[in-house]
Amino acid sequence: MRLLAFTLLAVTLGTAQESTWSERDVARAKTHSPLPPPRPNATNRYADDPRAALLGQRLFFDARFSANGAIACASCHVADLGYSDGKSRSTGLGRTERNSPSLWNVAQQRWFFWDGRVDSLWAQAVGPLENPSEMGFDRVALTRALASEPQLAREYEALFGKLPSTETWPEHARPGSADDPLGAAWLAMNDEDRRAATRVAANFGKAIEAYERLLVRGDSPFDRFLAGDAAALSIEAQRGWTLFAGRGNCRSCHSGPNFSDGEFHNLGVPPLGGGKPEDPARYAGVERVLADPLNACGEFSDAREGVAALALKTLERAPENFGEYRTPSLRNVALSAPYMHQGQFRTLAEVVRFYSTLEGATQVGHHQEQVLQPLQLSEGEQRDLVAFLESLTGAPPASALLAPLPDQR
Amino acid sequence: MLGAAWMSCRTVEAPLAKEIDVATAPIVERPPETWRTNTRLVSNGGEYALFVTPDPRTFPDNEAFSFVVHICEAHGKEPLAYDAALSVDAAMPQHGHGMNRRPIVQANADGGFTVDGMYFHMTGRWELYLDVTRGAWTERTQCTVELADE
Repeated sequence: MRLLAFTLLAVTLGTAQESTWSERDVARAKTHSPLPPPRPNATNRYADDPRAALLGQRLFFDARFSANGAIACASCHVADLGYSDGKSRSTGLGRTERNSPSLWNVAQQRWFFWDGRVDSLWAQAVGPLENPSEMGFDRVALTRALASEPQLAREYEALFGKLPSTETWPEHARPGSADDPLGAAWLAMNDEDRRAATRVAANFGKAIEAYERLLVRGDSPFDRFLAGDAAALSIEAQRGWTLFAGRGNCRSCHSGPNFSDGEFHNLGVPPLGGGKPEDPARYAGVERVLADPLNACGEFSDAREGVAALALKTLERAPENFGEYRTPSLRNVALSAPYMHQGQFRTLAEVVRFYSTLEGATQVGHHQEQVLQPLQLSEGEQRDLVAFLESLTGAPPASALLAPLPDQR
Repeated sequence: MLGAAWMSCRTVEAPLAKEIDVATAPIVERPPETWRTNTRLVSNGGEYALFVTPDPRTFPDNEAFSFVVHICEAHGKEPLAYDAALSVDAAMPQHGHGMNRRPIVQANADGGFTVDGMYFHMTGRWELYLDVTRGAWTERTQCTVELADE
């Protein structure tokens, strides 16, 4: 049987070097490759519009859309740092409580943020824009900023129609508590003006989504090996795959071409500052996405009855959601250290060591994944697993996509 | 023969008998019960036979899916249990969690139920729960679905 497996492999993969994979290893690997294009997002009718992507790229690198004029989306999502920022917890105007997720292949996701509190990339982009710890901007100031810059206004209006008049609007306002001056100003605006400002914020997000959908990085050594390039994967990485798919049971959550089930799990990774986990994570995320005016069922969605809307209508908050975080993709994972929702682990070797021993793991009540058991990997096996994870780094797209537009530089 | 069972079932239901004037009601063509050839599950108490379409063994991994259930009495010619209600859930006993979705169950004109919004987000062993409620009594039908990872 083993000989048969090798023969099949020779046919499938060529014979440049002896593969360590069984027939089953190959079959399992093929469920992860190649990486398909992102699924269409009907909630954003501009998602695959090149004009929107160009505007989105411009907005992504523009620091004027922040309260201090110095922070852009690109500040926490740096192409050279795996489209993350290299920090445990990202910092904007203040320090956030979470690690900046990578944007490579981000359009493959179903839920966004570590707790899945929004259900589209366009709604996600509005979050950091107005978060006081991140860009600290607001949708009223955003509308004015877009209108005051002729090129931006022209590109925006060519796509989304005329920008609303802000004459009667306060200087700054965004949804929030009445105790916050910007929240109070928001509550004082009339409903029509609030909806007009929110429409602009949603369109801002839709342009950014169109850009971020282009941040695709497949074609890794792992993919090339499966496509027949027998020299693409080292023997260490091949052994690592066998562990990943077999004893490691990693595919339970890191499944499919994006190496993520797109859902939420509790690994028991201790909080960065130690102590007991207090972050409700997905438990709060479910409540927030259901209440989000920018969700798939809301008036700013372009498909209020589509696939994403059904996902929301059937979404249920369960007690075990407490402390669960979204399964990150493992594609390009070697580029975006540190790891986990608060960057608790500096290297992939530390991540693998945690799975091997579960040392320091915390348990929230009895909600922890029962399937998680210490893998008890040898030092060599841990190195093999890291080698495999490193083989998931794909070829980057054209560099022009990863920088401000020429007239912005 | 099945038609007689169907008519019998419809006419013995008190609420329907009140609403429908049998003498003047239009004759409705009953669709063929092709679902009877599909997967048959028996409820834990033996009260009901449930016909599930498609076969739960074909349910996909990490993709939304729907299925149709017809609830019948598990005796005689197994007539449709028209006054039964259905609720659906699923869990992964080895993982200590269920689905992250609450499926939507809608009654169909032919007496069956369409279950939308199902989502098995992981491979492994799932337990599908089909709870049939009639009056004050609920009886569970269980089915194990092994989602293989190749």
